[in-house]
Amino acid sequence: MFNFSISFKLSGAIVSILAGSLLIISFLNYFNFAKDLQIFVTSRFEVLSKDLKGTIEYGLNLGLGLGDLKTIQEILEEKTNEQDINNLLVTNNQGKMLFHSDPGKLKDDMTFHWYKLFKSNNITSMMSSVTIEDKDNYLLVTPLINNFNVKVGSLILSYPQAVIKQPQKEMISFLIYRFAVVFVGGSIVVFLVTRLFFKHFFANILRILEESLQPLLAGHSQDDDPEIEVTPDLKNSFIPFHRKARKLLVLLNAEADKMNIRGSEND
Amino acid sequence: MTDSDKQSSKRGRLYIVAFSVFLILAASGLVSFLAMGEFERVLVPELDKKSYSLGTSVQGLIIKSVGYGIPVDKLNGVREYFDTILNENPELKYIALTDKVGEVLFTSSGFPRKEVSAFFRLSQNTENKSVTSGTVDKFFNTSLPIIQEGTLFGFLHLGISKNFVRNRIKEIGYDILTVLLITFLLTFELLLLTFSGLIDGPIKQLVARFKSMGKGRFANTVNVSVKNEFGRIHQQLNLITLEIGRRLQDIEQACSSSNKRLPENIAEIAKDNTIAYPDSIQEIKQERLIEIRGFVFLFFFSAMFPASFLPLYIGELYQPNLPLSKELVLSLPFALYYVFTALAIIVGGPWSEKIGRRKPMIVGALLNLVGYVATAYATDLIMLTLCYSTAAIGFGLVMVSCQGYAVDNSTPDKKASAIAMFWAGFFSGTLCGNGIGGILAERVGYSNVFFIAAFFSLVVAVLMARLISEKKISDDVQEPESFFPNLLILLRNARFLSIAFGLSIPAKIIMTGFIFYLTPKFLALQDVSQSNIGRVIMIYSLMFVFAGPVVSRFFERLVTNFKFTFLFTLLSGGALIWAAWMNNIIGLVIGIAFYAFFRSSCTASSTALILEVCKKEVDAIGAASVIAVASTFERIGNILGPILSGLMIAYFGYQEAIAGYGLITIAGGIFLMLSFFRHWFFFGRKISNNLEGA
Repeated sequence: MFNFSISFKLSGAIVSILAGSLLIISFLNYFNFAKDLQIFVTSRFEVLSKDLKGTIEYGLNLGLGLGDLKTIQEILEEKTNEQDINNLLVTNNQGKMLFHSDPGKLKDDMTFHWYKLFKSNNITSMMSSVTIEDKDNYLLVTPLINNFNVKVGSLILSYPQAVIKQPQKEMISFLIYRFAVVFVGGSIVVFLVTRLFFKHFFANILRILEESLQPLLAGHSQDDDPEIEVTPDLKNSFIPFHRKARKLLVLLNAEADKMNIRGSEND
Repeated sequence: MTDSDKQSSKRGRLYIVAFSVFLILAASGLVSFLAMGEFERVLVPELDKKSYSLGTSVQGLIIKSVGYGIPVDKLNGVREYFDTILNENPELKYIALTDKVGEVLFTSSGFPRKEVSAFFRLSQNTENKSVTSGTVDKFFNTSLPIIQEGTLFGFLHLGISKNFVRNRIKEIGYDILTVLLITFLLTFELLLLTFSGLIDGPIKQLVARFKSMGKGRFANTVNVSVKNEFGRIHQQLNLITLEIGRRLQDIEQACSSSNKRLPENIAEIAKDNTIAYPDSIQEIKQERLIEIRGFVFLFFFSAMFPASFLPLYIGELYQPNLPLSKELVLSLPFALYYVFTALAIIVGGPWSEKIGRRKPMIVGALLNLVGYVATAYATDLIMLTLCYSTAAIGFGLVMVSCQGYAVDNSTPDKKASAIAMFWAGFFSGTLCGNGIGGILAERVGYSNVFFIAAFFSLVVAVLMARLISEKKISDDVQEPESFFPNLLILLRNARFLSIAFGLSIPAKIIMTGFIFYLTPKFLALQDVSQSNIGRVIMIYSLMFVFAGPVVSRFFERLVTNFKFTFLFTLLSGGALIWAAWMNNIIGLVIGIAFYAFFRSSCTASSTALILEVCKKEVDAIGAASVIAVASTFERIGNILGPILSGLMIAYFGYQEAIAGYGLITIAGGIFLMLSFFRHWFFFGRKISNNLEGA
């Protein structure tokens, strides 16, 4: 006979530690994946952007103005066929669109929008590439610099955030599912094994003590100390107590019987 | 034949702990293994895409050149250009340009000609003028055709190492191994806490109750709130108490109502025992008796989260508005942290003696929480110093009250092991905290690590509030110790002072100044990641937890404490000088490992040495008081460490500072030796006889 309560609590403690450990490992795995994915994806677009920047700056270094480089339009349209690119566009320093991979958008006045975006991200005068967020997209903004080291405009590569966020979401689902399966499986094993261990190693001690107390309560006196195999601490304290309680109950019951006093509730 | 239940329950405990550790490690390992497979599946196509993007860029340049009429095998500067691309894109292992039939024309440096060339010849298909991808040997190969005006001139090949993603995954493998080690210790400590709360504590309560009732005290019942075996046994004991009281009451009332004298044997029972009538029996609440080790582990685990990055965090807030060198200014918050910790210990000790251990523990944990949250929001050095010092007060309070609790709740013969339990929890906690802190900082940022640490402090405070009781199991009434009179007594012992100034103070200077202050800054300058900085600092605690106790137990049988302490002190100093001489990351890491190994090995012997040379003082004021005064000297070292580091780095540099610490350690050992020989010389006794307690 054993009781779930202690082994259940013990199992609960082990399961809590299991959950904590799996959580930390899963977080670690996710953060590393997210970091690597971000690096791989952005470096891909940076390569493309750098290539285009080289082509455009070659034209600038020939002495042409940014708006005069008509071949850029064709190059932007061609490059947008690359995977995962929304748009490519070139603006001047005031944010006016000069070229756009979607020619229909050239008429749109995005000046205010870009200006606000750039200002809020402190990149109006930046001389190196930077990635900023714009609604559901990332914008890789690369400065275009002429051979006098003057920034003349920006090349903006727009790609959807889903390129990064979708695999991240899928990884979260993957990890949650594996976490759940391993956690549930592990918890079941913990509960079963702990119950077995507890029943085998601990429940005996407590059962022995319980059984030794029952005759005292029932009024069945024993002359000898009970034979119990428990830890020395328990034995050395239990035996003197048992003797004392036995002696008191025997004497009190005997005297009560002599005086014809009604029996105890335990009789 | 069955084993005695004592052996049986010990074995049972061992099996449960071993099983739990194995299961948790296996489960964590399995999740990581599955995740790594998924990483490869997602990240490899990304690499392919990048390879393609790079390839089209290089392809465009080559096509332009061919368009100018340059034959593809006569292009200039191709190798240098390919090498530049490779340097900028570490995942690429080679770039090669071949002619139409696959003969290699140009390659980047380190091109794996043997493995790959044959593949080019066999696989190239002049009919297929599109981009193709495939695996060859250890590489993912992308081939792009060089076509100018419909004519195929050759192929451009880019190769990415298959192991690139695996190698990136390996980096996180170190983090996972660190977490698994920490999980192992965490599981062990928390299971000890659980056993203490669920099994050991209730058994101690049962034993205490049996003892009390065995002495004839049947005046109390216990409020039974749990319905497990322990609850049922307590309920049976309650019934026995009630039955005895009721029987006595019945007999006394019967005698009183019939005007008879109480029988002699019954009168004797009433006189020799404490029996209460059922109406007068007092119900007392069960007190929980829980080992303090688990709480110590949890608290110091979180308190050590910032250890691996704090100097760097402080550096970010630095503003040059004080007329002191930058390094010295940056060391001041550290030094003040240890000042406030020491003050909290000195004040908190007597306070917790007076009002009990529980309240100071909880107050300490809450102060630590507040301090950490405020530190996360600090915007300048002054604010950071104030906030971090608040956490220091909490740290000191928890430290002194937990130690006091451990001593209060142990019998006189078990006090030493109670203190050892406290330190075991402390070192395990700091070991795990150092490792996890670095990993967390790299992923969530410095400020968020303070929030996580604060959360753990809150958990500890709540657990302490719920689980810790004030009831002492020891009946000894302990008078609060008088610190200053004890200090004055020990100041007259020259050898004690030589140990304090030669060993204890330098050891703590190096712990706070070198391990926790200089090392993170030095490694950060070498672009070592935060996770790796945490792992390096872990080595220090690792040695104290695992190596030191084993080595010291081995050597204590072979040599005297003095010789052992002296020799290992010199060796630990030598390790630091060697690290300085190497002047690189590997040297530093190995130097820390050896320093910590030697230092931890002689910690127990140096404590034993203190007790040996202070025999008279131990008889007068007790061993605990002697050790308490010795600990106070160590705190001087804690405070001096960061300041000394700041000065040495500012005026000499990192390498010289590390060498300086080595020299301080060796000088301390020599000072100790000279002091002991002086004592031998003037008092005419051999050191060995003296130490044997003649």
